[in-house]
Amino acid sequence: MTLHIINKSPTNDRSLLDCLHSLGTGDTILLINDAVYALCCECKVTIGLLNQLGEEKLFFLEEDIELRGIKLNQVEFDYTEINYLEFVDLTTKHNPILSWC
Amino acid sequence: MHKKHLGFVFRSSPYAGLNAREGIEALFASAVFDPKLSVIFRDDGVFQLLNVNTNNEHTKNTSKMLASLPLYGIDELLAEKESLAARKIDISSIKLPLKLFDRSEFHRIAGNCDHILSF
Amino acid sequence: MQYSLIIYASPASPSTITALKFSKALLEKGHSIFRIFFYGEAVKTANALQVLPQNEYDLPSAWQCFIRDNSLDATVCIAAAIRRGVLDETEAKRYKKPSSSLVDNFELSGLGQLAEAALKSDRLITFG
Repeated sequence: MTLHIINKSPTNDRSLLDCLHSLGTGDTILLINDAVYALCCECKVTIGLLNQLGEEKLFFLEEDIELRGIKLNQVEFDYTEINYLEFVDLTTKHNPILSWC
Repeated sequence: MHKKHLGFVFRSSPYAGLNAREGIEALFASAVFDPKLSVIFRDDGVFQLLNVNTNNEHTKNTSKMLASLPLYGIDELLAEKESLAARKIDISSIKLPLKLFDRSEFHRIAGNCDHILSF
Repeated sequence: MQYSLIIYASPASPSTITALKFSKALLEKGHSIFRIFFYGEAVKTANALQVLPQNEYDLPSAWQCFIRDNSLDATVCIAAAIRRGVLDETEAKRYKKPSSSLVDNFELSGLGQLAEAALKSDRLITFG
């Protein structure tokens, strides 16, 4: 099952939305770099699609959230924060890896 | 040995930096090794499919490079219907032997590849 | 598992730092790296002639140390490199340029190396 990696801010770029519209049921998403701004995205469509994934299929790179000072108290969907070692584990568990860059 | 299946996903318009051109060059270089190849145009990448005949000395056009695609033994040349429709692209004007697919099929097409390169 | 990485992003992009941290984590987890292929804007990572302000993180040097210390294969796409001013001595002579600019431990080579990496690795991951 495919691991999708997004690195661009969803408020500025369509990659996340294009990816969310194309997911298979077994696919997993990892958001890194500016894509972690999805945590403060107000777009109802994006939030609705992220909400369908749940914490087992939606991952955020912890360090990139901290680096950007994102407040997490108003996030409307479930997700899992991971470090680099867990990022590696995600890539061993999934194949192929599609970077939406 | 199992023949590796490589997927090339083209999402950039032809003039968005060098992305489109360098993607096609990577595809041509890979074809030499004779893997199974799927080439997928979607999002702004479908703009690469338009035939452009003007000669502009400042920018090399990728449409001429793409015209030689059928010579490279690509197994599947695919374009996403929704991406074409959203950009008002008339598919009858495209000369490449394309197969169209629905957005809902993308995950299956991508998931069948051993590796995906996206440009 | 055997991994290969393709990096497109310029050294100024956070994606290149992510790629380096990911590579370090790969080795820490006991995986091997077959090749790191620098393509597109990422070839600038291998430019020896860049000078960064002292208070800034020197990413190209960090890459160079990582590659040297772990004896990794760091291949820079020759076509993408020479158009962006990254030349080894052979190319500098060939095109009559005043100096070469490729950092140590990186090698210029063709796109065939990218295809080979894809075909020989269990995992291929792109940082763009």
